[in-house]
Amino acid sequence: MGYEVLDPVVEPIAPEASLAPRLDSLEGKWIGLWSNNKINAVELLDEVEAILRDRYGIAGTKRGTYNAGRVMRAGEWGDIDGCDAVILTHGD
Amino acid sequence: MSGPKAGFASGLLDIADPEDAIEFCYEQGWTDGLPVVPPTPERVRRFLAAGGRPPDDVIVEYIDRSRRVTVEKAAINSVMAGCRPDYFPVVLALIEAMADPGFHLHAANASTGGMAVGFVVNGPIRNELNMNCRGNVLGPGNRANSTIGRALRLTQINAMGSVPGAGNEPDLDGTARPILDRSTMGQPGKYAGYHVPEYEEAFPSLAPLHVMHGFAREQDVVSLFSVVGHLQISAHAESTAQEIIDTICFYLAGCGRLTRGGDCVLVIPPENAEKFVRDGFSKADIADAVYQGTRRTVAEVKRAGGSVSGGLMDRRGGPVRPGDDEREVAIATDGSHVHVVVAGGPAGAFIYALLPYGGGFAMREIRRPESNMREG
Repeated sequence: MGYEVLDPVVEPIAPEASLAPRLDSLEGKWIGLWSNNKINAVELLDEVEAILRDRYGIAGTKRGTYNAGRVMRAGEWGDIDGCDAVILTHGD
Repeated sequence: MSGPKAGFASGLLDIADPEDAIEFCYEQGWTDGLPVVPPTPERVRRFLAAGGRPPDDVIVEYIDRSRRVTVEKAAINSVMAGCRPDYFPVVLALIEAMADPGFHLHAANASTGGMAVGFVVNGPIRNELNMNCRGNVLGPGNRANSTIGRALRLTQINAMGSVPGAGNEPDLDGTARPILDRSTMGQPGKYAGYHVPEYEEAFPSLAPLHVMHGFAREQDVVSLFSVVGHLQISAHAESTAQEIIDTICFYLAGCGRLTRGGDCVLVIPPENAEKFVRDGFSKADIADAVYQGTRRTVAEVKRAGGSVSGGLMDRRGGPVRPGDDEREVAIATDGSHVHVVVAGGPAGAFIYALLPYGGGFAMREIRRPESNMREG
């Protein structure tokens, strides 16, 4: 007779979500730059902002921070709703 | 592999020869590196009976990783850890506590900081399960202490996706599970956790941890927290409570873990606890004194050549910025977040500080099978 064991692994359930529509252009858009509060995150975002301004003619940026260690609640994201696109940056 | 059957949602896997079962578990990547008890259906059934909850109850809705941890998966991993069935209600309470938003589960599961899970067990169940709250309380030698903590780790690895080994990514052949425990170093505490059944009987005037938080002494309660590591503080040469406090604060202030928000657990052995009782200190007095004694402004830390984490991180030697003289860090958020627990052997004045990192503190009452069944 064989021997059976139960599988202890939980497989992820694919979340019901889809990508937001792509922007046709960055020109005149507000870009959110959110840092995870770690060293070099702000410096990296500064570089990104300079490139966005120089090359793509964005309207401006909004800055914020987030906690990568947990799911952020809706009210914790600052003025993220005022952005057309957001870049989350991991410094570490 | 067989599909789900025999009343289980989990898949059943066939092994031709029982002698191969332990190796089989290794081959599946189910272990923490140590051998596991093969989770046969009969063993898992005994745990489910002892837990008294439906196997499909979801204990953790782990949104960050799109996983649901059920009672059945917790039971399978508890079998593998070497638990006895009567430990299972404790494991369930601890996993429930992991789902508390205040615990910050994802940080504990994923961070490069390599947090271990720590837990205190209070109430009569400690003695019923023969947990060890005395000598070597944090070390090996007691089945309940060791395997309850190990059940949490195996649940993190298998049910929450925290496979360790960052940097050893397997060939991308689509068969291996991704390595989602991104710990840089890991630590020994990640095998079985920091397990601290409290020695409640030693000093009745020092209220047990769960009583400090409003539970009745007769209730069985777990307290869960994440631990980045520990600091052993030798306090043999201190003859008064205040001297012990001063020594604790001297070392904690320089331990590198001052924070804007967090929980620190102090495990006090009887030799030191006796002096606190003699000098009229309550646990709240100890906790508040340690908090007060470790408070530093961000400016002070910077001027001393240190750096501070948690959104205040600056390069070492960085300038003192406006507001740094007002912003404070300490070993915990405030005195109510310094948790004093009595445990340890009769000789030795070694205080253990279980140091905070990123996570929080969560408590749950342990639900005995009879109460589980009533509610179910």
